[in-house]
Amino acid sequence: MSSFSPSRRDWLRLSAVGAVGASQSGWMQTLAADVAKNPKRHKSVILLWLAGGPATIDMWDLKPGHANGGTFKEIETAANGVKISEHFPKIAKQMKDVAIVRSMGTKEGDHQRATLVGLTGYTPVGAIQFPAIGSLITHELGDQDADLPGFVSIGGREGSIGGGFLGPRFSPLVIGGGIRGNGDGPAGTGADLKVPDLQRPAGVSETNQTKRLDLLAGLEKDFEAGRGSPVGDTLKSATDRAVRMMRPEAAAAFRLEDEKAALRDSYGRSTFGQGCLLARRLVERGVAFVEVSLGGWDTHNNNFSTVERLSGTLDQGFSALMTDLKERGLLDDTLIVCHGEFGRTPKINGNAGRDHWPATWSAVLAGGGIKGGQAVGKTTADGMSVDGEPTRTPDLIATIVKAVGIDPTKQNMSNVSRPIRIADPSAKLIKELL
Amino acid sequence: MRLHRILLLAVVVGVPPAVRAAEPPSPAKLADVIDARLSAEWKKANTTPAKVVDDATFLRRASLDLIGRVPTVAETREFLADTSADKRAKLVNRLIDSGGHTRHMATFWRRTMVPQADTIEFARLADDFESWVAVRVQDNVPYDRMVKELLTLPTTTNPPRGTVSPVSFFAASENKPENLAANATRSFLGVNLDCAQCHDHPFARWTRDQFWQTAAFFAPPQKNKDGKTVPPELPIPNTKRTMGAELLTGDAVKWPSTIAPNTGRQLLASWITGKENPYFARNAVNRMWAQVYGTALVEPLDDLSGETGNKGYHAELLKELADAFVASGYDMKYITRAMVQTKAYQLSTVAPEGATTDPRLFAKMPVRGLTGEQLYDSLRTAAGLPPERDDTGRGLGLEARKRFAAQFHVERTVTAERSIVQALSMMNGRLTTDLTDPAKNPTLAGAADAPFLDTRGKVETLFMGVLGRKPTAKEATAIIKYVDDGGTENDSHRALGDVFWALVNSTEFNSNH
Repeated sequence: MSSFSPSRRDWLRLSAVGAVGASQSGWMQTLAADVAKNPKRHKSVILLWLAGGPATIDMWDLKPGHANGGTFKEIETAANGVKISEHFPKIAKQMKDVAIVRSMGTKEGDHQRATLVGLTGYTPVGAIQFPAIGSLITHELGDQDADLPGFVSIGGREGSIGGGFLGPRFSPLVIGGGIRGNGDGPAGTGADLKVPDLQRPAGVSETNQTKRLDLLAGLEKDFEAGRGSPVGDTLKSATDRAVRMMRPEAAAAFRLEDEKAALRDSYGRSTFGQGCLLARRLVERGVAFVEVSLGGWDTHNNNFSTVERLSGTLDQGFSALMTDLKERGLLDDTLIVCHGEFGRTPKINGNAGRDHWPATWSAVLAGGGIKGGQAVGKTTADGMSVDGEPTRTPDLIATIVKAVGIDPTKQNMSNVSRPIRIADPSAKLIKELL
Repeated sequence: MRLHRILLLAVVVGVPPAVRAAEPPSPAKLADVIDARLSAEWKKANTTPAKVVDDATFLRRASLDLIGRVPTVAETREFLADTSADKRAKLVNRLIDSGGHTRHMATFWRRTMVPQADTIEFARLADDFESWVAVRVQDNVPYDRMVKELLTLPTTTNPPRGTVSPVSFFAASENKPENLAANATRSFLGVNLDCAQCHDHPFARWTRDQFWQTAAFFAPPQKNKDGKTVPPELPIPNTKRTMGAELLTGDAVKWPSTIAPNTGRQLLASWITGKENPYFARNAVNRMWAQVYGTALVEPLDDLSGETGNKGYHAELLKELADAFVASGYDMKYITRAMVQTKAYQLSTVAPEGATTDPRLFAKMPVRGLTGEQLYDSLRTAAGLPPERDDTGRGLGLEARKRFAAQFHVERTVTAERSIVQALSMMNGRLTTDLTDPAKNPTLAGAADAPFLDTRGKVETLFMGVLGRKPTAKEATAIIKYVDDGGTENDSHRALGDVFWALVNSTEFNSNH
């Protein structure tokens, strides 16, 4: 597709606007009483993003008995023959719902570039602004009329990777903390998981706010006459949706304090654990894609003590999330994905650390749409290379997308006026998972 | 002989062309040409153009497009009071010669040439590059000379401390020949080679070989077996083939006998900025057009080599404007002056009943979003705070501006979208909250405390400050009553704050129309 095609571009824009147009029925439209019982169920994805490059050789693909193997022991799991680190005792019990891809092999060893590839499935080229996987999935599954945005990122990964050429409508709502903190320190108790600017400014009463919106509605009505435009529509729709999200029913999605203390404890009182709980509350209310970040995996020094500690946080949050989703009948419709931007060197360095290593690493998937209880692919005995064909990021992205019922070859119009597929054209589905 | 060529090149870089092909028409004449061409298209399409906008709307539009912010109350009152017939032409000329224009265009050219600086990864590169462009816009350096200076920059030696340099262009491409080739052809020629980097695209005109041949101009020279410096060759990844530097037009490349590290870039720059280059002038004009009209004359912006670039709707008009641009000595301000003096630029955003709304006809103005920079500067202007500094120096205020601009970044104003997070920030965020407080908002304080103003006068002041117009009778009635009743807090000052809040959250304020 090399020439300008206004019809296609216009169509894309009109369809986006049209979907919004339906919701333009006033500022304070009354809402169905219980948002949690949203009948429009679609599949959702929760991405547990391990920022910094986790040492998956000490987590999902151990090498006991080899010099590269480190200090951790392997344990049996509920899935026959699949062994993981001793620091994941809770996940081990639920291994029948979990699959490990041990054959990940990628090229980028720089945090920023690898994160970009990991979250978009594309290697950066020129001016093309690739959208995050969360934006792509929200674009397909998200409900434009919903009170909550379709893509939420918890734990504050840097917000630079968002809607890309799909536009800011599909960028994540970013909530809470910084991933620079380890997420499980004393400060990280989940108390910071709040939507920025969701509250009325101090000193502005609800009546006052309503009156302000009335004044605004009056101005909008007069300006609108005869001037229907996509830009005007997106401005009004964003304000409209922001107002809806401020409504107590919608804002309640973020009220973790409404959960029982015992359940909150089961997730772990870390930002990550409480973020996993928030992810469940959001998915339950129809949010299509939630990211929960757990940082601190860049273990150039003291790899083993750090990985042990972070594994504990991950084990608790991840397993509680699976249990909770299952008990609510949501696990079949929710795909959980867990990985970082790359793995770490099999060879242990002089500081008991491991360095950046994209050539071999593992990704983990659980829940809806995939076959659990298995390990797909393998690495050599020293962990240095993939034994067989490496699985690349586009393959993983295509498989995730396919698992929630989206065609990975579907094209979107990009900012450089070229259609770009959801997954890179070279992507091959990981057949064993589907 | 070859050495002479290099010397000659160096001379040309520093000196404007002595002989101009033909004197260009005056900006007003060129504006007439544009109007004539567009009218002909309207006739063919059997449509009527929108009405010409009133003075207040024109002032606001021209201010946003040329200096990147809404007008102040004083500027609005002065313009409305002016009764001279040519006041619109005088206005745009004054704006184009102002410091605000320098800063606004520095951001525009930086965004065109170093779009990477709008990402967090490369954000640190924006300031230096914009400072470098600003100096050139201020001095109205010919566009071809500016681009040549950029492309031939010696990157082996660091620029002296304290001087501004366009080195960010190279840093944003990580100094990789392939990234630089893609970025340079897109920014300066409107030719998109990105897809040809990895494969021959079935529909594209450019081959993978051509991509790597272009990239080779950016590679450092190599040494052959005898230790002699020779032109560079680049391997195509995952193949056994290497490519030497070749031009996209197939013209011969003449390497001098002595090859310096930037010789390849000098050769490429001469071709890119040469008068015979089929894309260079058209690309600049097309992008400048899109800057003030929203939609480019030829879309997409980066496919001038495609069918629409050569035979599309306004391909001929683009060629005419490009020729005038070349004849003017690549005078950027000259082209801008012509573009904003047309009748087409003064058309309303409201199409007449039954008229076509095809944006390619330019029979009406599109409603456009504001860039983050425009929105920030306009909010401050509306509040009566100093709208801008004439320099592009650094300071705490600029950090706040940068953060805000990044949060409200839009790719192209004509397709701008707003997110929920952005809307929440506009409604409940720190900046808006501060601006509803008379202590931090001189416009609001002035209206609230003016002893000589009745409520109508106060409300009018706010409308003039934020929207650059007086309220309609209907708006005035409802809002005056609200303020007289003291709003919801029985406090007319706070009620005025509510009015200011509603005004800055309106579509009218948040768009360029």
